[in-house]
Amino acid sequence: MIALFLTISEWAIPILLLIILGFGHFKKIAIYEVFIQGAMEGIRTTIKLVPYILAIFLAVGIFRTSGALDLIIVLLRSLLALLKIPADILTLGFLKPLSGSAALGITADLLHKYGPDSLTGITASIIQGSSETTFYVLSLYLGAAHIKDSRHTLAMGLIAELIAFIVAIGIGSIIAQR
Amino acid sequence: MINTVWLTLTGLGITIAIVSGKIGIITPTIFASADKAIQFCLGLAGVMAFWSGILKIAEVSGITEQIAKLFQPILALLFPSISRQKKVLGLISLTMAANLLGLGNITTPLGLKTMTELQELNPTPEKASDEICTFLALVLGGLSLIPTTLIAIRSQAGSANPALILGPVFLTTAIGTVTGLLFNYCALKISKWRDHRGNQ
Repeated sequence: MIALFLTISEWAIPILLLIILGFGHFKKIAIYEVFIQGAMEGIRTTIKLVPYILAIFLAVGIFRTSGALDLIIVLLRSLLALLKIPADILTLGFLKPLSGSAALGITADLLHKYGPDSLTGITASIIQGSSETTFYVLSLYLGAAHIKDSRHTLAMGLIAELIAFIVAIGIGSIIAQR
Repeated sequence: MINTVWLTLTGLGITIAIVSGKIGIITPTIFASADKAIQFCLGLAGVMAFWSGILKIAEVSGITEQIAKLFQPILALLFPSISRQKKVLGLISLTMAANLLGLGNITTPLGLKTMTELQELNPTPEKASDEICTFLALVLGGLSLIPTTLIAIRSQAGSANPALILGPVFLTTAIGTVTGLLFNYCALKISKWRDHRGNQ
């Protein structure tokens, strides 16, 4: 089954590319010129994104290296000990909305430390797979559209994230018990 | 909102560094972050340009509209006011499909292209439109069927069953997405009600 899924992932992009180019040619479109035109738009969008990415990288970078994130986790740790949630899981849950690569690193660490099929390993896997890098996605997406007023979207993203986190811990413990 | 978040992350970080005597770490962090941001943008520029070019072909040849037709029932429910904008709806479908299949490096270019198209239909460009909020609910929910990277790191760590988490991840993201959509639905209703009252 894993082989099947990985095959799908491997095939999806090349096949999609073939279909789009083939169909474009069939429709008598100057695919090369249209590609260049579209690619230029893509470059322009990316250039406009630079300040937004810089701003979020800076804020998250300072927040992490200064120890502010660790401090919040330490404060919440005692609370979570009562609920029997491993502290490492909490770190992951807090880090994921801020930084995708850092979260991936922590998940890989946890899988090696506790074993991928242990309670912590499974829970960490589900959190890693089901959470989004909320701050980064929002600043990127709103930046691409030059939107200043994001309305309720940040609260919405964080609530979805919190619910997913709770569900992940629940499902993780059910699976690990079997 | 974003102003507060930015100030909180930066300000709290610097304050805690001062209190814990780690102030020396802030300046190198600023330079490292700036460097990382540019590195990241350079990497993004390549995939963005490539997929924007390919998507332009898909758009001109009418494939995006065909894809929108495929997902018409769900899209009509989520985006009732733009049900005639087949191009945008096609892009929304493609973004979600890429996310479902775990095609990470194509999801971002698709999502950003969708955002610029949605923004063109936005009557209030400074403020996120209802459709943009709904689209963000879908993206932040992150519905995922095949988390490729996750399966890879699980098998690397020597899991007996790396794909064990496929079902749980799908279920969790589905619950997360529905939560986001419900929250979004209520928030939009409330803001509509407020606007309505303000006009009276």
